[in-house]
Formats: sequence, structure tokens, C-alpha cells
Amino acid sequence: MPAPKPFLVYRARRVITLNPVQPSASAIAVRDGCILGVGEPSQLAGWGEHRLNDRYAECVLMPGLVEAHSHLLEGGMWEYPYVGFYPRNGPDGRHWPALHDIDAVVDRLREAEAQLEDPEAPLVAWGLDPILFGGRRMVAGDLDRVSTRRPIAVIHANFHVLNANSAMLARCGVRRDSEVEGIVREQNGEPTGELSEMAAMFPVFRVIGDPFARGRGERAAWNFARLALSAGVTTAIDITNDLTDASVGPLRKVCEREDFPLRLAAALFGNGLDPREGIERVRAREACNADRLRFGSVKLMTDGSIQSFTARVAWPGYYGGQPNGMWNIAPIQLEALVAAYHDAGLQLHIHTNGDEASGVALDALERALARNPRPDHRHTLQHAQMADAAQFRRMRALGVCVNLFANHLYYWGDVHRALTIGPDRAQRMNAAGTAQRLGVPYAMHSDAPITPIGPLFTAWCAVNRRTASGQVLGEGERIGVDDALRAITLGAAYTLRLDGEIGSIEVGKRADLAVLADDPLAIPAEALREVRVLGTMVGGVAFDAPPRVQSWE
Amino acid sequence: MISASSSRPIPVTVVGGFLGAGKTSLVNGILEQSEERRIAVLVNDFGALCVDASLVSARSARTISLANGCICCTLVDGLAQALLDVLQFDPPPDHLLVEASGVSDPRRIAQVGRADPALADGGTLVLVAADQIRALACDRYVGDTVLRQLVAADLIALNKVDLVTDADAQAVASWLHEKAPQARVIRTVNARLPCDIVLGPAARPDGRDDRHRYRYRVPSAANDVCATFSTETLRCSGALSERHLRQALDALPDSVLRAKGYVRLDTAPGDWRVVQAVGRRWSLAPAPATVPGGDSVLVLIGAAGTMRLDDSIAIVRVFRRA
Repeated sequence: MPAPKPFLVYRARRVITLNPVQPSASAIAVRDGCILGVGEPSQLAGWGEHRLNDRYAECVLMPGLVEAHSHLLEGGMWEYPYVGFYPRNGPDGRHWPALHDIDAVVDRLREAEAQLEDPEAPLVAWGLDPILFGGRRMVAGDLDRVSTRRPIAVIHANFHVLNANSAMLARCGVRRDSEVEGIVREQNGEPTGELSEMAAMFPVFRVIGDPFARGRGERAAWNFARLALSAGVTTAIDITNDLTDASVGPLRKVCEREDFPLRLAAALFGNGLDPREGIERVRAREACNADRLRFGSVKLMTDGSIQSFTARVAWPGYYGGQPNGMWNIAPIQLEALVAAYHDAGLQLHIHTNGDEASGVALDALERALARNPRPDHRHTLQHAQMADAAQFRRMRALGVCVNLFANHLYYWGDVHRALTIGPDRAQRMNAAGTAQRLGVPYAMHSDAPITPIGPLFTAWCAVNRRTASGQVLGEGERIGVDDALRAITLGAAYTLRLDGEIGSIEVGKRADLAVLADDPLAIPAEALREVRVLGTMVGGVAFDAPPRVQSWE
Repeated sequence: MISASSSRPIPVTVVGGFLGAGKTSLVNGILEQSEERRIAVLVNDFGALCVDASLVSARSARTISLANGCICCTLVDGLAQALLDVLQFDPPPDHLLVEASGVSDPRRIAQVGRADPALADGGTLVLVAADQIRALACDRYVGDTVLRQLVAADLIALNKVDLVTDADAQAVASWLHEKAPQARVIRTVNARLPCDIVLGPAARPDGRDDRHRYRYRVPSAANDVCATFSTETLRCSGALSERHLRQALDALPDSVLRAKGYVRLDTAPGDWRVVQAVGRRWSLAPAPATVPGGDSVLVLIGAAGTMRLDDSIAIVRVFRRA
């Protein structure tokens, strides 16, 4: 028998393992990309010949963080300059400071415009959130200050609206007499340049291409992975993938490379697809599952979003009396799709924002499970933002997991309280406390690019439940820091059916680590979002995060 | 990446209706009888289309081109991507037919035809199943969705009338008039409707009489259906009064389901305008491209035996007067 290869022992300021048997340690041993041992360096020496590595001697090590609801589009959008109200970090580590008024947006666009070489190329930017500009909406005249010649489109943070300058309006043919509801107008009937929803935005897409197609390709994957690295994420899912060659080919290519700093999962988007074909597609991909690239789950989308008033909300509906939202698939279709994929043994991620949608999804799951019980199915409600306590009890009874959109508490909490669902139901949104108390397996997510990928920030949201204005939303649903750290590691890994491999620092698991400069368990809970990420380790390979500026307030 | 083209805008017709209302049957029927038009159909599920494999001339991930010039495009990557795909075809299709999903609001989709200068509003047809619609409208979860579809319609095809008694069909039709007073209701079976009802008449300004076109256009299996529709053609050599024409279009009888034509107006006798009406909505727009001279012509389509176009009807008087 050949002598085992020497292994590495990494000493650290502290190792937070998320393993209750051994919650804390001072070193880990790594061999063949996996955790060989956890403990004191002297104990680890018992495994034999090894080398000490002190690159993490001053660092805190955690299991690599897991983002269980995101889109590779986050990587694609960074082709364009970011002009959002909240600060954000680009894949190259560049910090994009917050832009708090239209002048600041114009200045940033001028810089970007100056860098475009092709004088004919349109300028596209993203992330604008004028809800936060105190009532002032952007108009074409604002963007004309950037250029009167070059067509400009600024996509809003919600991806449902964009602003165009005069050159863009002229180029794409949006006119005064265009009879479309989504064209926002001045009192005199002239388009302001703000175009809302697909119909009104489509003429601009004819000029700039469909921005939603930007999530495909190696570049988007690399950019996404760099953002993940900066956030300490070592595993993420692309949750709305069509699993065609055009989408999967580039992922296969990047995931084969050892310098690609991320494990990826991809779920098939099952809406509008014959489930027989869907099952076939997932099965074919699953047969080629690799260490770094996993298939086997299906996403179904039931309703829209609460802030767009398209979520399906149970009685008494929206706070302002708005009509109820829109189904993406009818409840009866959902039931048929859930049954088909469940019977095929696949895992379901079901997008439900409103509480009516959560109820319908649970009905469908209950029927499928009653007819065909299946242990350990791990079907997961995604978002379930408005789910009430009774719905969490049903999740518990059915063995259904939940992945909560905790970032909403911060980004849209004020809007939900004042406008969408009102002050009472806003308190129970993204009820991690209830999930914890009832024992529903739960994770929390960013839905990047809707909000930036950053599980430590997501954990901060669930722990503090503070809105952007600083108000506390539903104190009773707060969870502790330790529970939040579990949710963004083991909890998320559980919903990806990867908890046997990742999510905690335990012997036999993959050597996937988040490398931190601060100890999240030793700082005040309010400071959790300020924890600095220095890098990651993925399968024993160390990656340094680009230097990153944190500036929350 | 294309800039707005100056060619004729392509009409977009939206077919809506809840699951089981007959949308796919309708789309299949249209593809069968397209003959003279190159139609691009944008559908949710390729698999449900009855496309004869021998008629497929080309296929890509999102589109199938048929030998008769029609194109099928999947909506799996969203309506925007599908539209970008079909607008890339050269020559462009004559007409776009979008099959809305069973729960979507056709009004939202129809907006697309009004926004882009390359596209035009081709009307919204909503199918309802005669035996199910009233129960669906009371459904706890989808009742509001179904009612929203009805109010989005220019034309409602009351489908599957063979599954209910005449009295029930009448009761449903009355109920539809109440819930969707803006829409005109057509009864049908197996979602069989002539192309000219769904897409609008292919009227041409060359004076050709379009009266009997269905005879050869609709396949024989649907003869019972085409027999229930008729066309009337109004024609005159002089310029029409724009004011009277607008008033007459507002007062089109309920029996007229669609109308299309090319006319010259007294306000600008040298220019051709295109008139289109679907249900209660109509438009009068500059006729794109070159129109050969000749008479002003308007083709009207309605249920057989219901369109009595005599002098009591304003639109008839407008053409007589000119």
C-alpha cells in the first residue's frame, strides 16, 4: 500500500464548524479537497505526515456559504454600469457607491459614456430605484445631459421598468401617439422616457437586445462566481435554467476548471414545459452530474412579486385595494406539474410570494404526497414571504422546506408596511422565527440580481429585521446569529440536497470554506453585515476575494 | 439588434382564454388555413401543435419554419425574446398570432402591438368553453383571472357550444354580454374560426372581390363553420367624408365582427388610409408602402345572415355618398 500523501493543516483564529458535536476548533486538516480532521493542531497530527499552513492564522473560518436562490443573470448584468440607490460591489471587486439622486446617476453615466469606444453603441445601465428618490422620477431630459446622440437605457432594479433618453426614444420609435399604458407621459402627452412593463420596454429591447438573456455564457458565470467569492459563497444555484445546451455548455466548461471558485447547481424552469420533456431534460443532465455542477431539481413559478402587486395574496388582499396579482400557472396546472415531477422522483422548488400562492402550492404538494408518499423529497417553497403560521405548520407536516427572501425585509420592508400589504402582515414577512420554532427546515436567500448576493447580509436581515429606514419589522420573527449562520450554510445546503457534502466543517465533507476577518459570533448582532470576507476555499483550493469596501450607511 | 424598420407594421393578434378553452385548437386551425399569409405563431408549447414533420423546412432551438411560410416560435424564453426572434425573419411574417397562457391577461400582451412601430394592434380574441366558463368565473383562485380575460377581449369565441343546450348557450352568451359589454361574441365548435375572423380580412385595395374567399380557404372539415360567416364589401370611387366615416365606425352594427379596407378621405384625397375594426374598436391610419390607385374598399365580416347592410347603416351611407 502506498503511503498516504501528506496533507495540510490550516490553523485559524477560530473555526466555526456548524457541527454541534464540535462547534468550534482552532485548525482543520485538508486532504484531496476534503476535510480530513477538525480540532487542535496536535490532534490533527495524529493523521500522519502533514504540512502546517498559516495563511488563515488570523482568520475566522466558516463553512463556505450557500446561496440557494439566485440567477446567473447577476453575473450578466455587470456587463453594464450599475446606478442603484444602494451600494454594490462588482465582480472585479470595484465598489459602486450608492447614488442618492438623479444628478449622481447622470454623473456616473457620463463616466460610462466616455468609456464607450463605438460612438453608435447604445449605453445601458441597471439598478435604478427611483422609488427611493423622494418622488422625483427620472425623465429623458436627465439622460439627455449624458448624451443627446447616443441612445441610453437605464433598467430599474425591479427589471420591470426602464428609462430612455430622447435619442433612444427616437431610435426605437416610441412616439407621442403610441397607445400603450406603460408609456409614462407628461401632462402634455409627451413620453417622459419612463417605460413600464414588457410591452412598453420591447421597442428598447429591439435596440439593446433582451437583457434577460444576459445570464447565459461563460462570462456571466465567471462574473457571478467572482461576486460569490467576494461574499464568501462557495455553492450557489441558478434556479431558473432551461437546461439547454446553450445554457449548460458554458457551465460545464467553467466548472471543469480548478480556478473557477464555485460549485453550481441548476434547476430546470418547468413553467410552460411539458413535464415529460422536463423530466427527460433533468434526467439527461443528472446523469452527467459532476463535483462542481449539479442537476436534479425543477423550479415552478406560481405568482409574481409583492412589490409589483403581481403576487397572489389571500384575503384581505393588497393594502391599497389593488386587484389581486397574476398566476404564472393556474393552480390546476401547478397540481399536475407537481404530481408529474414528484412522481418522477425529482425535487421541486416552488416560487410563491403571496400567501394565497403558498396555500395553493401546499395543496398541490399535499395531494402529490398523499397519493405517492416519498421520504425525504425536500420540496421547497421559495420566498413564501407572506406565509402565515398555519402554512408553516403544514410545511412541517408535509416535510416541505422553505427558503425565505430575508433581504426583502431591508430593501422593501418600508414599502411593504406602507403600501403593499400594510403594517400588520408586513410583521410576519419571511418568518424565520416561526420556521425555527416549528422545526421547518429553512434557508434564506438574495434572489440575485434582485438583491446583491451576500449571505452574511441576508443573515443580518433575518437576525435584525431592520428596514432600510431603520425600523424593526416583526421583532417576534427574529432569529439568533447562530441560527442565521446555520440557515446560510447547512440550511441552504439541505434545500439543495447537498448537506451530506457541504454546509458544515465536518470530517469527510468537502473543504469548502468562507474565510472571514471578523468573528460573526463575537461581534454585536447588529454588525453582522459588516463582517469582512477575505476569500474562500473550494474543494481545498484557496481563493482570495478582491479587496472590498464596505459602506452601509 | 435592429433599428425600427420603415416597412409595413406587422399586426399582432392575441388569442387568450383559460386552460381548456380551445386556444391550441384554434392555433392549429389557423396554421392549416394560412395559405396566403405568412403567419408567425408564438405559443407556449410546441408539442401541442399539430405540425406535420414533412412540412417543417427549418428548425432552431426556439423556432420552427414551415413549408407554407409560417413560423412557430416558443414563448419559453419570454415574449420579448420570441418577438425578437420572429422579427429577425427575412422576409418578415405578415401577421403575428400570440397564444397567451391560460392565466395571463391578454390585454398586457396586446399592448406590445401598440408600442413598437414595427408592430400593429391586430385585436384580441378570447376563447371560452361554453360548458365551463361560468363555473370558472366563480372559482376561488382563478375567477378574477378569467373575468380579466373577458374584459380584455375584442371578440369572444364562445366555444364548445355543442356540449351545451341551445338554451344554455344563449344564457352564457347573455352572461358574456353583461361581463364583457365591449366584446362581440361568436359561437363556435372545436375552436374552428376562419382566418379572417381571427386575424382580420386580408382586404386589398386592388378591387378584388373578397366575398367568396372562404370557399377555398377553409378546409372541408370546417365547412359547417365557414358557412356561418359572411363578408360584405363596400366600394366607391370618390373620397369619403372623414367626419362621417369616423362617426360610422363608432356606430358599426354589433353584427360586424371585423372590418378592413383602404380608403381615400376628403381631408387628404391624395393619400390612402387603412381602416381596421375589430369588435367595437377601430383605427384609421396612413396606409404604409405604396397603394395602387382604385376604389376605396371596406370588407366587413360578420355572422351569416346577421349583417344586413342597407341604407339604415351609417357605414353604407358613407360609401354611397362619396
